[in-house]
Amino acid sequence: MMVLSLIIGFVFTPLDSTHVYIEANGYASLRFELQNNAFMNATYNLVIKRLSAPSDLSFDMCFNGSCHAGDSSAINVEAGASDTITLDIIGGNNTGPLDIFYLVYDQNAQNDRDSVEITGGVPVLEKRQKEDIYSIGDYIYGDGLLSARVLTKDGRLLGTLYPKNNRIYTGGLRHGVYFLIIKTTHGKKAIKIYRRH
Amino acid sequence: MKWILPIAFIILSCSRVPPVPRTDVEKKIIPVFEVFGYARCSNCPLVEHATDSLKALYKDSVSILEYHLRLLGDTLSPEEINTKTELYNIQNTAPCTIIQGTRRIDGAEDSEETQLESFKSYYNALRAQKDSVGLYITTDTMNDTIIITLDADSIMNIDTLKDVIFLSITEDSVFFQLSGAEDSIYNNVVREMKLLPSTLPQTLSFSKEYLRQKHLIMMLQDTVNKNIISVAQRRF
Repeated sequence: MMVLSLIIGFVFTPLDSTHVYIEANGYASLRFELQNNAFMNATYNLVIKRLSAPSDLSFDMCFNGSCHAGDSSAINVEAGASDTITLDIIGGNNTGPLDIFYLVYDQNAQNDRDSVEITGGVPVLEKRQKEDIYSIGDYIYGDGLLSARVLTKDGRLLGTLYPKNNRIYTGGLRHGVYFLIIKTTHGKKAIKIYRRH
Repeated sequence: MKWILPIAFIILSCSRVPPVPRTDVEKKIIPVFEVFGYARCSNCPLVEHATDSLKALYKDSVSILEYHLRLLGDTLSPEEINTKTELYNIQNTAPCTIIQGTRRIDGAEDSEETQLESFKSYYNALRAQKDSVGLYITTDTMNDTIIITLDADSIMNIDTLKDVIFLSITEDSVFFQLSGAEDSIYNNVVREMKLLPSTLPQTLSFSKEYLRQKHLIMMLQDTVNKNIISVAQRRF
């Protein structure tokens, strides 16, 4: 049974996009599912390996009703069960690119391991301050956002997007190049975005 | 000469009042719930809201202390709370609730209602017990200063070698906003903590302004088995 459990091991799956941009002093929450496929209960170590990250970036891992601040923790998962882990990546004052590995391994079989790469960054503030409207990941940010008219590169109007929490979500657009006419309390501005899937 | 005896009796009666035994010697234990958390801990509000409800239900017959671990930007409680985190061996995991110093609950229940019911059952079990020491606080005011005297009904039940007194000052409705934190207003926040010897009586002074709308909690705790023996508290 031991051999079988080593072969089957576990499955570690991200439930959210692992490409994240975090505002300085902001945060991002990513969910992961850890499925124990073995026939026995297991304890898994969860470890953040920083390849590139701002020095004041910090992490909080929450599961089973508890939160664990720091770069590592451990979770017990019953045989055949799965648990959801929420990883909060919390930005500090420093900016820079983000490239980390979220490593999981069985405490009793350390070769049984998996990892998920999380990339993105904490964008440079100066650049954002110069531009009144900017696109980061799936969102358009800007001061006094009111709406965004979405046009194809041929000039065909696809629809209008409205802000929620002071940002406009563009993740619903399919692969391609779009022109957005952004209306803000300061006026109008056109920007071009490229959606990749 | 006949009148001398009654007059002497009256004078003696007035000058020397016989000691009145305290009626609350056999008072009940005030159950203590110590919650360790931090603002960005997403599972902590559930426990904090349950302890808020517990306090609303039982008022001054329960004692709630929320220690904010200095993690991920939380600075609400002072570093002195490390004395407590070391006593209970609390690392960076939250929420962690310690009941009466001895019962440890890691994490939160599935809902606030379940959490409250669990706390209520602990409260009822503890409340049925008698306080063997009977710690109590008396206050006096002098200008802008509040003089606090801590004493006990049964000093002989205190073991000064292993028992200590924790003085904590907590505050309600503390506004603290952090990105990613679910709550921005916190209750029962430990704002000051001091470790004192268990020799009684003890006198302490605080400015009136400092204590305004704060809650003073003095607890006698056994540092070996961690049991909280007696609690006295006063709201200002």
